[in-house]
Amino acid sequence: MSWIVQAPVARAESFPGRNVLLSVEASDIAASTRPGQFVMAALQQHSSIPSPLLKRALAVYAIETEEGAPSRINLLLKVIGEGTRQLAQARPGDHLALLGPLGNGFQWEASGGKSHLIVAGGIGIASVLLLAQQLRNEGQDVHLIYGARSGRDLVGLEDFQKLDMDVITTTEDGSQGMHGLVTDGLQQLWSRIDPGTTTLYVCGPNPMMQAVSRLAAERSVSCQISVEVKMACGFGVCLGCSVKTRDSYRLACTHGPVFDAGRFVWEESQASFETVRAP
Amino acid sequence: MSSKTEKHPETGTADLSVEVGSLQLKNPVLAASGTFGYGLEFQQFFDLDRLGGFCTKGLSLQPMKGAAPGRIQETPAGMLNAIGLENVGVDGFIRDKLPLLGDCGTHVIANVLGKSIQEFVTIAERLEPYPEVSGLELNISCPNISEGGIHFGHDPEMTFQVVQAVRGSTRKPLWVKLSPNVTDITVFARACEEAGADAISLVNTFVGMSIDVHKRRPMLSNVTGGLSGPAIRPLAVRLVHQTAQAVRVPVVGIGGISHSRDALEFLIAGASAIQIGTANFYDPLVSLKVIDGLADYCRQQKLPGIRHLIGTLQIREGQFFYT
Repeated sequence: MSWIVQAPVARAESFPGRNVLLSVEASDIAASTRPGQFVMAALQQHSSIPSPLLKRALAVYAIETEEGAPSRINLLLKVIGEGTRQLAQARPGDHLALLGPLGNGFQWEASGGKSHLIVAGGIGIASVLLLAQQLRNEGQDVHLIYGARSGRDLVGLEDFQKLDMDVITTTEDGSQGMHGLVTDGLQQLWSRIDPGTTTLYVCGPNPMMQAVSRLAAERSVSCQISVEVKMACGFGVCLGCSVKTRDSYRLACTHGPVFDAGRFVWEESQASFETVRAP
Repeated sequence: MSSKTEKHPETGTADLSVEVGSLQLKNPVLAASGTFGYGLEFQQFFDLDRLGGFCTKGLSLQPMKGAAPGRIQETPAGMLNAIGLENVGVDGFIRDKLPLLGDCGTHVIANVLGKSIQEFVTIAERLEPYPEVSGLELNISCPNISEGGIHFGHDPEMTFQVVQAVRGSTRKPLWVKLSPNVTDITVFARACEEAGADAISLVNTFVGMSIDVHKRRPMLSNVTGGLSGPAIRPLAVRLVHQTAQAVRVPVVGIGGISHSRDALEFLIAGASAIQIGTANFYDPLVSLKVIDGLADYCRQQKLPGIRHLIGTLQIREGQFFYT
């Protein structure tokens, strides 16, 4: 069940690296979103012909509660093109046109003795906070490896540190944490993980997700990736967001956006990844 | 709910009913094929019985997996698509979708496509026993794959043959959806009429192209795709008007409708009903808004019924007019 709402913006925060966090009043969506799900979002316009025409798919980053009840969703986004530029300009009092929650989120085994390794690159962090919170609530063993260009781009880091979990950061300029790529951070842990009991959850730039998927495949580690694909509708009717898995073409919106890395065919999916830009 | 869910006033006393051939519609608003799934996907948003009807995703004889990824690209006030007719096939539709739709309270128009005349006929025969399917819409106009029936839509003789063959195999109302990518659409509309079609729906998408200038590659894996959305509306209004002048059978107008004002243009131009397409993607409730807007218009204009508006375009004597 997805909701169509005109959601008032309660708070807007800007971060370095063109990153913006929007907190919007959308209690129905907040109450029903599972880790890894997304919404279709646009800044509400008065015209019957919005510009850009299509909403943008955004992960639900966090859920805020009021008096114990889910009331707001947080969207963490990076300005890439016209759609995200408009969203980034939203101010308290503006409304977002939202449709959600959408898609299938991450899958995890709730039994004990498992180890969960979250790997995020850049704005990919937006897809994995709810997962980390859920796993920590279940008392599970969770590690985060979070890479970005530089330290100031590590948005939301403190939200994970609050969860009392193991966090490794990597930066390409060496300004914070390990100097290098997120895969370098992963290598550091790699010898210590038990392939039989570990699951990787990955969201970030495609080359990074591909590299992590390869590492996981080499040691037969279970690995889930959350992909970002051009979408028109978000709920399975336009059939535009197809990606290729070993089984068949699949829709990123209704079958994904989380896929089993071992069954994902990167080369043939590539053309769907091009970020939606201003027309 | 703390969030403001969009609400719609009842259509009140305005009479929005129209006829498309023998089919009585409670209002002239249908959802267009390829933008409404199999109807089921929209049941979470509203009761389908609000609609005049909807057209299913195009159904082929065998299921089709569709085009390679890289299927859509947004363009100014529109989008290009090359979905490649991904669909569950006519048997999958009958087995898995139709029972779930149940009595959805509106007309279900099965959009069908074949690689050959025989396939069109077979699909029509498979659907014939199901009264839940109110009518057929022949898709002879998908621009994206050669097997999509476009060769039936680009040769008037082929158009005549396929429509005549299907006409002979179904008692259901038979609509034919035309391609705008022809020199003179009225030639094709007349071929459909002569072959026994009950209505002509137009337009399908305009062939277009978009290029990634950094990679110097086409944006779509299919290279070209069909352009839809508000960008094509004036082109479609003109073709609907032209076609409505050329045939006696009803015309169903399609092309970039996202507001009741847009729908009114098509009705005045001569369409007996309209279909909403791409707008369903960015506003799944758009059809309800258009229906409410048409009711408001009827009340404001003191029209006894929306049907009185159809084909009422006034053109002054001597005013320039295309032929």
